[in-house]
Amino acid sequence: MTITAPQQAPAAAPATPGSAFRLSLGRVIRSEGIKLVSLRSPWVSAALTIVISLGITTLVAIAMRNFLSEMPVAGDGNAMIAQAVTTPLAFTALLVTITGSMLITGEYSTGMIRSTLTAAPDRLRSLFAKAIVLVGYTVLVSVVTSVLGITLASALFAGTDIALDFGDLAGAVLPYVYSAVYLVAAALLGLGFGYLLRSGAGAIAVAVGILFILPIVPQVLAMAPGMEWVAEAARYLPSNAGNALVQGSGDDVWQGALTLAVWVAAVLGLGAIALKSRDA
Amino acid sequence: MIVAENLTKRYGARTAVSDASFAVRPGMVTGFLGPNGAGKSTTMRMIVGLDRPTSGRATVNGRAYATSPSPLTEVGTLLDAKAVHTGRSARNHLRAMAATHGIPLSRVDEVLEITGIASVARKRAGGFSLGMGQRLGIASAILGDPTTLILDEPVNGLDPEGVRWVRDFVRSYAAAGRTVLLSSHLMSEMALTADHLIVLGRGRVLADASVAELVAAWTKEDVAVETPNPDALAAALASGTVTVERTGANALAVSGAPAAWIGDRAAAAGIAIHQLTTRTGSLEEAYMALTGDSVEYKTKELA
Repeated sequence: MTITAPQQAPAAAPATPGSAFRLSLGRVIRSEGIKLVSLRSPWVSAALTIVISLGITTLVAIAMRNFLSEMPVAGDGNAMIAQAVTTPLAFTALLVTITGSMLITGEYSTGMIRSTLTAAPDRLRSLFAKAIVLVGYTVLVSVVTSVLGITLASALFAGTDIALDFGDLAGAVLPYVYSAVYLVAAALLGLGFGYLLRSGAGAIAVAVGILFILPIVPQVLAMAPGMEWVAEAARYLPSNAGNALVQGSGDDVWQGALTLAVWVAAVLGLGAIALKSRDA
Repeated sequence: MIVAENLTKRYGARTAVSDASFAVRPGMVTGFLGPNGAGKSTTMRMIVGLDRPTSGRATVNGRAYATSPSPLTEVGTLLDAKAVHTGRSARNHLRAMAATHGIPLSRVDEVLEITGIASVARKRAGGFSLGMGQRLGIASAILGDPTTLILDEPVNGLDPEGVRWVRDFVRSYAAAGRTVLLSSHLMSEMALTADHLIVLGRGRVLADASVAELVAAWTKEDVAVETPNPDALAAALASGTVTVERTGANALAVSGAPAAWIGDRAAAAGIAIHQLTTRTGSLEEAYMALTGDSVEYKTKELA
C-alpha cells in the first residue's frame, strides 16, 4: 500500500462569514444515515434479525400445522399467522437493542464521538438525528422481516384454511405495526442506555438484564404466597409490555404501548441529560 | 481569532487548566507548547466545546464554537487522530462529516487528494497506521475550508516528509490570513513552524510571546573563548556590563559583549585567541528554563 505524496495546500482566501455550508437538522440526520449504512454491524444485525425470525417462524408454523392436522379447528387465519410471525420478537428485540446501543457506544469506544460533536455541536440535535435514523432503520428491518415472515408462514400453511384475510384489515395488519413499534422502542432503549453508559459491554449487559433476565425473576417469585404484586409489577417490564402490545388484546395493547413509551422517554431522557452535561 | 478568558478546568481535586487567558491571532502560526499534562489538549477541547470549562470561557470569532451556524467552515479541528470510527472507511468518515454542513462530495475527494490518502480512501480506518490516521484527521479538519485551524500534535506519527508537509501547509494557511493554533511538545518543530508561542505549564500560561522574544528573554547569548592565557584575557575584558566565567583550563565564557569586541580587546592586549564562538540560546533552552519547575511527569536525572 503506497501513499501518494501530499500536494501543496492551496492558498485560499478566508471563507466569507455567510458560508453556504451550514448545519441543519436535515443534514445532521443525513450524516447519521451515512454513518449507519457505512458500518458493517447494522447490516449484520439486520441479516441476523431476518434469519432468526424466519427460522423461528418456520418452527412455529410447522408445529401449529401438525397440531391442526390432529385436531382440525377452524381458527382465525390472521391470528395464527401473526402468532407464527411475531413469536421471534422475544429474540429480535434484544438484537435491535444491541444495535441501538452500538450505534453510540461504538462512537465512544473509537473516539468518533469527538468528530461527531465538533461537526454538530448541538448535542440534543445530534441525539435526535441519531434516534430518527435508528427508528427508520428499525422500521425497515421490521417491515422486511414481517413481509418475509408472512410469506413464509402462508406458504407453510398452504393447503389448510389458514390464510391472511384482508377482509379483517386490522387483524391482518395491526400485529405487524405493533411489532415495528415494539422493535423501535427496544432500539431506542438500547440507544438511551448507550448514551448513559458509553460502553458497549455495559449497555448490552443492562439490555439483556432488563429484557431477558428481569422477566424471569417474577415467574419464580410469584409462586410464593404474598408475592403476587411482583407479577403485577413485571407487567411493566419492557419485554412484557412489548408482548402485551403485539400479542395481547383489548386494554393490553394500549397499556403495553404506553409502558414502552414511558421506558423509552425515561431512558432516552437520562441519556440526553448525560450527553448534555458530561464532557465528550 | 480565538480568545480564551480565564479558562479553568478542574477534575475533582486536580486542576488541568488554571485561569488561562490568551488570544490566538490570524495571519500567523501560534504554537501551543508545554510538557505532557500541561493542559494543552484540555484547553483545545474547551475551545471547541467538547469539555465544559469549570469557569471562564473561550470564543472563536467572537462567539462560543457550539453556537456557530457553520462550525466546520469556522474551525477545523484535529484533536487526536483517533476521533474516527475504526469500522468505517476514510471516505465514508469524511462523507458523514461533510453531510452535516451540506459540503459536496467533490470537496471530500479534494481533501483526500490534498492529504495524500486518496489511494486508501476506501479502506477501513481501523487498519490505518498512525501517520495515515493523522492525515485523515487533517483531511477532516480542512474539510470545511475553515478560517481557523486547531491542531493537537499534528505531526505526531508522521514521517519526515509528512512533518514537512504539515509545516508548509499551516504556514501557507496562516499566510493567507487565517488563524492557526497547533500544539506540540517538539521544540525543534515549533521553532520551524510557529511565529508566536503560548507556553503552558501545569495548566498555567507561562509565556505568550513571539518565538524571537522568548528566546531572547529566556536564554543568554554568550561567546566561548579559548586562550592559552585566560587570566590575562579575563582581566583585559573586565568592564561594567561584561561578565566572564572560567569554564575550563583554557576556556572562558563571556557574556554581555559581541565576539568582535572580545577579539579586538585581546589583540590590543597582545593575548592569543585559539577559538571564538558565539553561542545563541535555542528555543529548547528557553522552553526548559520556562517549564523546568512545572513539568508534571519529571524524569530522574541520569547519573
